[in-house]
Amino acid sequence: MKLIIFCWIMFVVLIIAPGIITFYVSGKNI
Amino acid sequence: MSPLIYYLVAFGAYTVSIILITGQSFGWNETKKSFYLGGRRISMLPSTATFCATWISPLSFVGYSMWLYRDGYVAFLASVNGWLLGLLFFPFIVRRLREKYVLSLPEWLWRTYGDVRVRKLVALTMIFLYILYLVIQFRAFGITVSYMLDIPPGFAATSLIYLFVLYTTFGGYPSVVRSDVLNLFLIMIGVSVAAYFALPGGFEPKEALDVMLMKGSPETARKLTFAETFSAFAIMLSWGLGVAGNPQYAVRIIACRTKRDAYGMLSVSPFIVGWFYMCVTFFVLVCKAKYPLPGSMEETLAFARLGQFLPDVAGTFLLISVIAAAVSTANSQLLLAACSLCYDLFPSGTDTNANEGPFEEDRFLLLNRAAITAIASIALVLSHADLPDYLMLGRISWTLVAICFFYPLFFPKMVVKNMLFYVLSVALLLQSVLVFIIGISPEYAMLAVLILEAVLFKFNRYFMSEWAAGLGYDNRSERR
Repeated sequence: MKLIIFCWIMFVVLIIAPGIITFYVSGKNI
Repeated sequence: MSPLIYYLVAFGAYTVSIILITGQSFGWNETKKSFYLGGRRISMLPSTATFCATWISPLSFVGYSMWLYRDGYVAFLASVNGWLLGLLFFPFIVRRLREKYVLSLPEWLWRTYGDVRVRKLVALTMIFLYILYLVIQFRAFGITVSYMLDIPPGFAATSLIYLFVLYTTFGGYPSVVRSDVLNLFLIMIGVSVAAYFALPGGFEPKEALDVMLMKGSPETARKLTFAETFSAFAIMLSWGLGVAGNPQYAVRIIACRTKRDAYGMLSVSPFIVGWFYMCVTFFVLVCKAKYPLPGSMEETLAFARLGQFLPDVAGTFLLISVIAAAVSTANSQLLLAACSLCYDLFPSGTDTNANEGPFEEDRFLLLNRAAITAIASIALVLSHADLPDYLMLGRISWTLVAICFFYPLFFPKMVVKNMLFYVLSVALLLQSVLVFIIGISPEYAMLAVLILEAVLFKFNRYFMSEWAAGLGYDNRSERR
């Protein structure tokens, strides 16, 4: 069960994170 | 009504749609820039569609599904989270990739590090790994079509993708993008419908949650051994790095109309890909809990059999989505492989932004189409050879990508310009020996090789500093 919960938490973080990183990085570069 | 009727109608409709949509992209005034990158005028939505459609291949669809069906959430951890890990790296390279105005990633390496040998070495590697990867698409397409149309598996079934892929790739990047919009739409419909109709008594949130958490399954009580955990994390890391450095995504970043479009594409894509994985995972876990498959069978055939448990229309959409996944990834990779061969490996005097006469451009693009046909033919023949399964072919390809592009793309300050060719040559040679001769798992070999690359760059930097200090001058500008 721990593995399943870990997998889904990591999944959600990985879905959201690129947008946050992009927001941070694009602020500098655009 | 027999499912065969549904399959025939769906396959016919897909064929007609591809012809109608893609045919509009064949332009008269083509240039290299329009052929490879759509003139760098692709806006955010089509860029997002082609990014996601290229992402979703039979490896990430069928290969992952059958691994999940067999081993449970270890597959999710290693593959889904591994692939998504690669997305974190892209925002950092958008500016770096776009500022050189190149048409391909090998050309970007050449223009950034100034060594034409690196361009050719990487182009050669790309041709090899994309042919391997094309074999996956061809094989999955052939088996799915033979199942759908009730024709014997073999050249007849597989050669159908040959026609699809040649047609969509001959129009270059604009044609690939147009077909990818359709393919992504079909993939998302297919997996959403499959997830919705998977439960025998209809979709019910509480039952769905129980399935997702694998309640009642003995696997949930089992603890992973250290070796299993290490292996899963190694695969996750190698696939993450493989995605991050993969030219098929880098090219889509370069082809965007503006930087803002590229950043938008990178922010939206994870949600589309994430929805796809949620639907597939749910569908497969329902099948795992409720519909055991008898004996062992080829993975695409096994996946097609799982589709049988759905209502006929839903099952048809699911199989069409496998075909769409194969076509969408194959045409992108074929275009990249042809670009590597004609533009990077044998450039024949052509240059990125050179103003050539219309006849030279036409001749060059004709050569490209001949290369596309030749590469597709090799992949078609190899798809009937006795090669390893999808996951192994993907692991071999992804690790080679990471070895070629990881340091040059993400750690340019670490790279010693005049050593890059030698370091990459040693790294690729060592990876080949470790995987093909000694038989080490590609992920473990890749981790060792990446460490070696870092050590070689560091050593070289250190010895050059010592040597420069001995001669009494500062050579920092030479090293970068």
